[in-house]
Amino acid sequence: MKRYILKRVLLSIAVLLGVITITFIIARIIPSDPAAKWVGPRATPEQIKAAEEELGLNDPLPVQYINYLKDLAKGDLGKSLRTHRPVTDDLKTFVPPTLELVLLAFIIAIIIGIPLGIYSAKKKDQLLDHISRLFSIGAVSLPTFWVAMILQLIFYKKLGLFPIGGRVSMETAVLYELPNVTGMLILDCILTGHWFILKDVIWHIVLPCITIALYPIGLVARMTRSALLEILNEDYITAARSYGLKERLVLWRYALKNTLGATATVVTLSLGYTLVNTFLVETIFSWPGLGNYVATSVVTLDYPAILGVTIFAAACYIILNLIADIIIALDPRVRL
Amino acid sequence: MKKRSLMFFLVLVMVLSLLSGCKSNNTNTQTGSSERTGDRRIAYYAFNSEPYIDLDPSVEYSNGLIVLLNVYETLTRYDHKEEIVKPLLAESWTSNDDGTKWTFHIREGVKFHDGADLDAEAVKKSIDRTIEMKMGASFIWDSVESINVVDKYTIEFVLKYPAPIDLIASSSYAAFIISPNAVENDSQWFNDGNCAGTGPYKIQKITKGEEVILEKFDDYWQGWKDNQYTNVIIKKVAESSARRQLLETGEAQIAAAFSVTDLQALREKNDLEVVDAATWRNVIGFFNTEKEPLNNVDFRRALAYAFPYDETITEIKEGLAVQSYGLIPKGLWGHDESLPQYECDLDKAKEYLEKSGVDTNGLKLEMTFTAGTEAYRNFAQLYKINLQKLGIELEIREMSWDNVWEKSKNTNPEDRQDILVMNWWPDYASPLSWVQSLVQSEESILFNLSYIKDDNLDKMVADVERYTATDRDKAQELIIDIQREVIDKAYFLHIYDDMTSWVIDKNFKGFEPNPAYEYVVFFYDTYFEE
Repeated sequence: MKRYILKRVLLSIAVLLGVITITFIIARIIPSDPAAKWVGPRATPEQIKAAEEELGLNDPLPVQYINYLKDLAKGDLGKSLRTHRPVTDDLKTFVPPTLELVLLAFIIAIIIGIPLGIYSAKKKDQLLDHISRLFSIGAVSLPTFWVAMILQLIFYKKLGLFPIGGRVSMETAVLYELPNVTGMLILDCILTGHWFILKDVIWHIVLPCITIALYPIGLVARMTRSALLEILNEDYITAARSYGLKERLVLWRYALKNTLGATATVVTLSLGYTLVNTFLVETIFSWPGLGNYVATSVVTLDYPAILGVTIFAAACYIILNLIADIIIALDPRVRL
Repeated sequence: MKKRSLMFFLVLVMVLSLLSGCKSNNTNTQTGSSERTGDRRIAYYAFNSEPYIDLDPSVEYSNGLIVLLNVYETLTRYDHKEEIVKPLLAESWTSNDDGTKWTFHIREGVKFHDGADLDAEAVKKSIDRTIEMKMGASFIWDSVESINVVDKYTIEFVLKYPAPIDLIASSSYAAFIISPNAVENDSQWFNDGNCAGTGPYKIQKITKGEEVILEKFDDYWQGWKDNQYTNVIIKKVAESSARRQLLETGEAQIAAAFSVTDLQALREKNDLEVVDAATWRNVIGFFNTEKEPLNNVDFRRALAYAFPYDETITEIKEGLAVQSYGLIPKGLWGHDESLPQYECDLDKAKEYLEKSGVDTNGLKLEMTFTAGTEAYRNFAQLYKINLQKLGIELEIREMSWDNVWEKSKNTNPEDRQDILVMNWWPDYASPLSWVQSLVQSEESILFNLSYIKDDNLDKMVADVERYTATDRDKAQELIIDIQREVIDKAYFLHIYDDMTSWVIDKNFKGFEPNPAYEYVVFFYDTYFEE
């Protein structure tokens, strides 16, 4: 087991290094003038020269690369050309709100998706299965921006149940100092005991969270169902059943455990994907997260920011993949 | 099992009702902030983009003016109705005959947010800071040789060459006066949410890239009235439909930049008011005059006669724009409606095409502009159809602004675009911005994207620079002459002067859009009234 994990970790580091190298090279190949961007559109040639010096753009490419890696090892991703702020600071600001939203959405997805998958597998081709299939396919295929806007229209405009966007209401923002420990407001409110603000925060996260959760709910439900159906046809399940074990025991104890590997892989990978692809949902719900930051960085060719986000995303994928691998490796058959 | 499903359902219902119950403690979310919350009155401005990039008043050269102009003040402010500069932190000013020495008398009794007093020394330190940092729009002070404190409330600008310091001091960028206690601080200090201006509002709270909350500055030198707003929220709400809903429910008081359909719907609402305001932003097409066949003046004239001006304004902009008269938009000195306009006339276009002798067989022109601008995309399509009738193929290329700009600056003119479309607006209330940046020849290309190199025009621009500081009537004449020449040579497509539609809550009074300060709401001027 230890060896297996060690092997995986080493491989992950190699992958990350590869990603950094490729992104770095691509960022430098793109025709763009970082120094001009740094000093603003109407800078004098001397200002641009000074900026080139400051940003180390006059060094040969390999030297720049080594410097970048050195800084990276210290946790320094350079400064954004657009905002002039360290990219690490920007990430620290924009990652927690997105992380909060996405993690909550995935917790909901697992809580709803797995039971939904199990029930559909159990009631295969019955009404519940059809409803669940319809729901899952709908959840996976409906465009998120559409869902988001429809939710706003119904729950904000028509019913007035939930707010249209943002993380807290105006009154809370003006009247109270928001807690800031991790940057994830729900967690921060719990940690500091701001129960009144917590209510407001939860009230605000509901609609964006549902929007994001829909896709993984459908995914998890479908994955669980198909994996479960396959396993329910295995000989050892037939054996268990013929021993007269209770159906609930067979399903939840013996069968479900064996589906978790596949589901875990799918969930972790789509979690990594969602983390940097919440742009539409964040825009529609005015959520101050990573999605907007990514989009603006790409459009303005802010390459230190693009590099920073890419490395962050790659690291997320790799860590999540590692976790999935470890979960799967809990199954002794895999280690053989 | 049935029991379980029922339980699950019940729990779900309970959770949902609990969640929606969360709102019960937040009073007035539907009736909105126009009402008082305790002893506060909150105004909410739903802005379509990031409210700022940098909060350092010496650095910011972007959306941040909408925040900073409420927090910091400048020596002067431009009044677009009277077309003159008015006193703000400076009470009066004079200049010498050749416009190279300007003396400003600073208002007494003005306090900064940190309690410091405004005096000539503070003004000098602020502007020196901006000049030394060399960031953002600091170039507006390029003419300044030195700034001298004459006495406690008198300051003198000594210039290298004549320049209109009274206009420059009214700029919405790089002209803010900062407390002497804060001038030593770096940008980080400002970006942490600190401020030290003389403006009516202080920064209360910021969320990077999303939101700024302002609170009133009790010691503001112009005083406060009871029905003014004590707090202001400027928040990024990127979606047009979301801004619309916020106004419809009364949560937001003011917003702009709506989609055509949203705006139409908002015009129908009784408790909202739509104000269509002229801007100094005009949309210009730049012909690549360094490339065949666009180096041929008659060919350019043919292209100018083929553009669908009327259709663009009536059909695409739905009347929310006016066809440009040359470069300078309405409301700014130098604008002249006696200047000739090209109209869409394909017969004339064909005439000029013949005269130019350009063979259109297989001729393909490339037009570039920033992706996602719906109006540009639509008029480009109409233009394409018109050009097809002349036998010219128009290739429309939408790219990010950075890519558009990179391509336009390519060292080989052949590799650049043929026509580039973008909009332009001035940094301060002067037509110089257009002629200096777009017409004057450049060694390395920045914004002269028609690549004009004309000694005569250069000389005229230099003259305008001189006369703007000394003889504004003469400068105005020259500006008009330059435009006449530029129109005759058809260097540009003068497409339209844009308008902005503001949607305002009926109870939100006192707002007047000023084209010199685009998208800015001077919240001090606004107040609540039933």
